[in-house]
Amino acid sequence: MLEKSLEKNTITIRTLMKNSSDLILKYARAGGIDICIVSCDGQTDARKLAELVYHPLSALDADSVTDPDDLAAKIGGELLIAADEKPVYSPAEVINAIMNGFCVILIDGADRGYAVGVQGFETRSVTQPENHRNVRGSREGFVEALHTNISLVRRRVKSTELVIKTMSVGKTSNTEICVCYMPGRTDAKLVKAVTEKLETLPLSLILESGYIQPFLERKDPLFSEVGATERPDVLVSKLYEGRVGVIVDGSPFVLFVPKLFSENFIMLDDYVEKPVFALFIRAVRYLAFLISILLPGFYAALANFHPELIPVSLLRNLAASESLTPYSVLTECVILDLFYEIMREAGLRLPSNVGHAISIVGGIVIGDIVVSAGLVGAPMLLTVAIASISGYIVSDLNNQIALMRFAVIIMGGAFGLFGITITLLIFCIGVCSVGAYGVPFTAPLSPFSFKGMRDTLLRISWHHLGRTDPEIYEMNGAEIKEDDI
Amino acid sequence: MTSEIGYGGLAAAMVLSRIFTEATWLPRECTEYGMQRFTVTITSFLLIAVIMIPLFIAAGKTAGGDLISAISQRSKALGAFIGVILSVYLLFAASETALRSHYYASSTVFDSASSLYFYVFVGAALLFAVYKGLEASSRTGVIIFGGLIFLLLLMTAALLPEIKPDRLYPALIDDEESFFPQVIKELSENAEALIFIALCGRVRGRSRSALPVYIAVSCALMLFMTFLYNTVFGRLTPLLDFPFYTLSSVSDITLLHRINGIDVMVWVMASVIKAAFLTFAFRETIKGAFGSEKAAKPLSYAFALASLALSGLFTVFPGMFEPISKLCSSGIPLAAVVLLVSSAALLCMRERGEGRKGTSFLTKK
Repeated sequence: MLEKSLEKNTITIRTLMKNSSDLILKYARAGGIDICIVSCDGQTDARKLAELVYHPLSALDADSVTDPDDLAAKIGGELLIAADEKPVYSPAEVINAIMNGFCVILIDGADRGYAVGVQGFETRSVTQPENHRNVRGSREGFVEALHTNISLVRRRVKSTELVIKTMSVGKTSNTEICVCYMPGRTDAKLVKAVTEKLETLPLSLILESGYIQPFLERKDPLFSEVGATERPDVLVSKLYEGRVGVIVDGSPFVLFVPKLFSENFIMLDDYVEKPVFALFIRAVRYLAFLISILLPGFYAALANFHPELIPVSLLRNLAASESLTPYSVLTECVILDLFYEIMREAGLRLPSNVGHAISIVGGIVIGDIVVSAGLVGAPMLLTVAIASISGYIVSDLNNQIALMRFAVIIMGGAFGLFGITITLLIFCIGVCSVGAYGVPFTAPLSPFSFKGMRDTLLRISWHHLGRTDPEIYEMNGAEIKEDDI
Repeated sequence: MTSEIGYGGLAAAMVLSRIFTEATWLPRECTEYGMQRFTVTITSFLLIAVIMIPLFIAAGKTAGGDLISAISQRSKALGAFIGVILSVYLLFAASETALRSHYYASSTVFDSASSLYFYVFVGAALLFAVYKGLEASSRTGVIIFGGLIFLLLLMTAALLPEIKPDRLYPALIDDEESFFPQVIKELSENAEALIFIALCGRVRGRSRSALPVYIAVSCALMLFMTFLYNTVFGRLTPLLDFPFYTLSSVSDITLLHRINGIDVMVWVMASVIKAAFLTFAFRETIKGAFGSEKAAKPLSYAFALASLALSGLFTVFPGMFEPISKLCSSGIPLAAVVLLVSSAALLCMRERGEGRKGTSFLTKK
């Protein structure tokens, strides 16, 4: 607890902060009483500090207030006009407040201080999301600052239906996170389950929303029931369907639970286009997903074990091309796929201008040379290239696709269609076993739900879609049971 | 954790399992795919519907509980007797499934897969399905059932120029002597009734709805398949060993010269799901009949491995398989088990004077 002696309080805070250089203690007199304004360097806005704290305090006449409790009451009352203001009673609260951009006024003779919100750290401005771009609609994406993100969500739901609860997690990082949901639409059990999981997080340092994601999902090596989005409009639509959102300070990726497998194939643009186009483009996405996983492995399987399935004229061309290469079809396929993954990883980590150069060198120069040098057949290169491009259409599943494609190549090349069958079956059982919070990951495809299908492969028109509330539990005939949590 | 599945999921798995059996007839099983097959199919499904009426009633009266537990609670000896009979039958059905799958796959496009690879990979997939649980297998079954429907549509579209309705001729019964043996044979192929008996307690809501859905959809699909056989192959149909495979072999979809590879992929997947469901049925039987919750899980893994081993044994020593197969093909064991379980369950309810529709007499003490 804070003591009445200003000196003792400042010494305690200095000790707790281990004389950290960014601790700022500014001593002054207000109304004839000694005060100390505590803040953290870089977390406050100097102009706000001057306008909201220094100016009103300096305006007090000397010796106008003699009792420290009167001064404290005045500061907590009419003297300061900051929007965010709260009393603090312990050194720990003082430190927590200054870390979050508050300044704390400590008064000699008073056993409490006042924290005033004067946040002013540098943040990235709201820009278009990097990963979830759209053709039509808002260009706003989440940023790293929690309060900016909250405002982006609140601007889209200006009603009491949206509830936002803030909490602090991580013993060391004290990261602010915010749970948002719509009580009329979200199952109370879901909110309780998510909140309990967040409150009992065993992590002490949280730098990104990805750190807490594993604690909200069940253990599955490939797929996750927790979604992440960079778009406030997407988050709001999920909240409207009865999900719970988790915004983490310092991360532009906002989590929501539960997520469905079919949502990887749904983009915001689908809702502003005509339904028939949405149907077509969603079918293309599903097809692209299958192509990206199956095509190279299928090619290797057919070429090695089942040439009778390939049309004769095509088979002749393939055989002619493959006969010129020194490696087996499986080896070629593995080499090309690995090479593509290396290029992708290099392109991701390098600055964009160098990344383009990598694409040109990798894609055009090396790609052309390996074929003309006879190391790899042109059909194989084409197959891997088509599969790779198809994978980008479903960007949220990029990593899973890469792994699944590799497994299919190995099993297809080594055991033919039989190997692919077993691999696909195991993947299928794996995907079907995912599901938390009462909603199967594969809903509404399996278990099949007509109601859920109206916005899965199909996207029925707004005239019909807008008539009823699209609540995830109702749509999929699911409910949360104790076992699911 | 007690996972539950919807009746639609159970029905889809049962239909998939039945159509798998239909598509992978073992050769020389006295099956004739002529026009008579329409009548055989309809008659056999009418008969199975009649046999399943007591089961339908019993399942309706035990909402929230399963039949085997109901019997076991009333009479432990009867429950144990039914448990043993069902377990043995389920083991044979699971090993027959693996046998069919292996024989079908290795006789068609997967000749590249040796028996060892086949059993290792199918075994791995089966154990994975059992490990992941009933819900995951049920959902996978629905997806594979969707794949089967897609395959049927694709084949029909590819075969449209080959379909000649004038190849159909008006004959309800071609050969009176073979008609009833075929009906009985068809009847005995509905081992899915055992799956229902064991798993109806794990179905959310109206479990008995799975039965009419299973009968109607299976019958419709089999009639459609018979229509395709007869209109594409005409009088050659009775000579075919694997008519569905042959259909897929002549389906040219431009991108692929034939789609028999995809056809076999679907059936191998279906066989694993069928074996997984039989394993879950065994697990529930052990739980219900002997009340051994803890032992049920490891025993179900042992069951899955034993069914594969038995299938391998049948491959090496076909003489062992034939008498059992002959007995099962008589339809008597299936009809006896179905009638025994359903009448025992109904009797137990009558003795207790409970079991009104929609109430669970299991929960009442």
